Amino acid sequence: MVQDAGGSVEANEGIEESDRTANNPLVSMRSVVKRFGSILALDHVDIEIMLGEVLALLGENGAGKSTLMNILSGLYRADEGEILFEGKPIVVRSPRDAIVRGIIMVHQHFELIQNFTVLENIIIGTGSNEKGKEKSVRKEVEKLAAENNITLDLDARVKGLPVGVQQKVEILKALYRNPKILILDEPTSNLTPQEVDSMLSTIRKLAEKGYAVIFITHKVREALAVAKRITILRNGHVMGKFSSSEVTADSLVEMMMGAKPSSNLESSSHTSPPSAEPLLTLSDVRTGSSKGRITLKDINLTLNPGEILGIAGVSGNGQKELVEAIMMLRKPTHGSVRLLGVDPMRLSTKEIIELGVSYIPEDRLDDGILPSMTLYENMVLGSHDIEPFSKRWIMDRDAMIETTRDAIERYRIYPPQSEARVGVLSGGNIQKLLVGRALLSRPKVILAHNPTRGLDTRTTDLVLRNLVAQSRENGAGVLLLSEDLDELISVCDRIAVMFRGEVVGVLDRQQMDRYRIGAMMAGGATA
Amino acid sequence: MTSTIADFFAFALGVSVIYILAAQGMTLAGRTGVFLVYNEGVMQASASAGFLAAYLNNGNLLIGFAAGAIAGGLFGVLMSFLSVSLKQNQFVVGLSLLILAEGAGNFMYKAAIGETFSPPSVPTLHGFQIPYVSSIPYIGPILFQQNPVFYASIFASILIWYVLYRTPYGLNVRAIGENPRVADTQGLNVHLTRYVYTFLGSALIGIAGAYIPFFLTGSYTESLVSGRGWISIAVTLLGGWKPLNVVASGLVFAGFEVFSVYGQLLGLPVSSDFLLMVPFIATLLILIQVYRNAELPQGLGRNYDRESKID
Repeated sequence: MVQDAGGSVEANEGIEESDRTANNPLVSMRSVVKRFGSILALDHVDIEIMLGEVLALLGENGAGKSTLMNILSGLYRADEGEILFEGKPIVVRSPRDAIVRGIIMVHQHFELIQNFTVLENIIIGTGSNEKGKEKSVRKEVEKLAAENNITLDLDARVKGLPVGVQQKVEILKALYRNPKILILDEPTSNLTPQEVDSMLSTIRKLAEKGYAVIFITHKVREALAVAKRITILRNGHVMGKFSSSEVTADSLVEMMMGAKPSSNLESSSHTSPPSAEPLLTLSDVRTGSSKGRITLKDINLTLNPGEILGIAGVSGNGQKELVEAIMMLRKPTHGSVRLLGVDPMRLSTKEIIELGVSYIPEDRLDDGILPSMTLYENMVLGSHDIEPFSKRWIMDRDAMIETTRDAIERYRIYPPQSEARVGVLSGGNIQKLLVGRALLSRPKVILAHNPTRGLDTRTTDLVLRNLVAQSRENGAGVLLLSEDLDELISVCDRIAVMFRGEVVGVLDRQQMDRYRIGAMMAGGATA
Repeated sequence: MTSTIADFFAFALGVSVIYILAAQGMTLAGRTGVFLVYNEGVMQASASAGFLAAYLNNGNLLIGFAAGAIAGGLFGVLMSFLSVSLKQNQFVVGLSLLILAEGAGNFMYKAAIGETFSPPSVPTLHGFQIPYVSSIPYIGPILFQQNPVFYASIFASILIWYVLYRTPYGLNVRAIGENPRVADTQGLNVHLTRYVYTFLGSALIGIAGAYIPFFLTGSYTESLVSGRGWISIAVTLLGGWKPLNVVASGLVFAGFEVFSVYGQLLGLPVSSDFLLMVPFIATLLILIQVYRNAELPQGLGRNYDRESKID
């Protein structure tokens, strides 16, 4: 039925206007092709957008969802294909062309200027030639916020606002531009479950008010909850278009991934925490304050052999500082740490790594890799000066390449060439390389900070399986810091929740509940 | 002694014009995200262009300043073309243009004048006696007998501040310097704005360059700028790319420069070589303290490519 509507503009040209307006798309994108260098990002994609309803664009990372919408909003230009607006072809050369037609996109990585206030961010690029209108502009924004049940301090600086609040600023900023079509790119990432619910209800209300809302997501559950129609993209192709009432979550996942979802990770056996000495103990750990960083407050945690301990929390609540304190990149000012039977306070980070600690950093581009060096050099980095990669001060290139080949196969790294420069890899492939490197030396303690961010479902699954295997088979302790609650709940033995530098509670498996954890993440409850 | 103090401050204000104009030029470009580093060379080229234009027009300084501004602006266009359009590294482009400009300035002068026993000269700028207030003791000679360019530079600074910080248009301009992608997605023209502001900023740097012979020497020499271009970068850093703070920091650095001159005149018991180092040492000490807390435009020095996938 939906596909009929898309084709109707062309086919039913002769039929009376009144019959078609209800089903006529406001915008159709037809046969859109986009290449980035040699990579085909979109291959003849068609979609239709209707007023007054939510369209979910569902697909994995790299499926082409954002690229498609970046074309509609004028940021990218399509190599082929056309865009019909109210039935007439239009050319969108720049974001301005899209904005004047009421096509407004809220990007996934917040497009807010940190040094500006909320109000300044909202009015950027609007009314640029009018002076002295500050008061009326402010009133207008306040009214708009009230209409949409958004409460915001307009004079607060964006820098330092919680992610959920920044998301509201983004929505208000978009609404202030009088949109007809509102494109929201993964608007629920980094939100607590409560915030996700309120975001989804906001989205539904916007559609009821008559906006066309495009909801880009990789979360099937959210797509089904909010959208009337769902279009699935995979590898730059449209895999199907459905009305949300006629599909099941399982079939959507299958179409998204191109394969049946593998058996659930939860089924992997959880051994009860052994009575052996903990691998890692933090007692009353505090860190000093420094500009722009969270101060850790009296952290008490233990990590046992064979255990996966999750750290949940909205990003920026001390997760990075916690990892840095364990790695002694940021020395605790108070309290004590015991790591693999020793006091690491006087050890250097290199010595800590040599103890058997392995670290998958959060910021893969800055902290993780050397872009101009080859895959195999990056793969063995850190253990390149010991056997089997070096013998008597001479590096064994063949051993390095062989190890890298194994990792390429195991983690499906693309391109599969040991001698390719890492700079050409996509973010997801760099992440796979980093995970492979971290697990290479069979570490006893693994600190994994958002190890699956930006990975598609299959690779996420692969990475989590490898982490689980390290703990179940090799008895390693895994500290898994993640913003994805589903991921934490599926693999962790216990979950500690962080809020503003404190551990506000540690939950074991029976206590794990999305909403309960969400409330704790927002600082609203304790264990 | 008292008149020496008044002289000191009056002279410092006169010198501050060089720093204030050059630093406002950097601020203009910097607020759109273009980091200019070529002040030293561009000031030399525009000092040469400005001096020659004035000299060949019977000492008409207005024509001289216009020539200086055009010379500076031309380098601004080159800078924009290479960095904004061709997306070459801003610092590499800036340093290359610096060397080019320095050579061009000296070459133009040699081609037009050649080697002379005593260099040709133009009349220097006159103080402008503002009625009534110029006769107030101390304050009058310091504040109200300056040359017109001084007053113009203060006025320009206030204007720049007003436009950038008090108008919606200025907010758009600053948004481009903070985060060009945000600005682009809001429909602002990142490249055009960067071109315009790099041009205007470089023209201001050019006027600062032309001011040196017209205020200080009346003639052109190969080492006319002698480090002032570099110090003007420090002035901008100290001022944090904020127009009003830039005025204050320009005054501070002018004070250091004039102090090193007066120190020699007054016969301070210190080596004159050391006194000449004073402005540079001050620069170093101030910047070490200031730079770590500076709030710079977040997109400063970074080129913008709309279709680049890496954020």
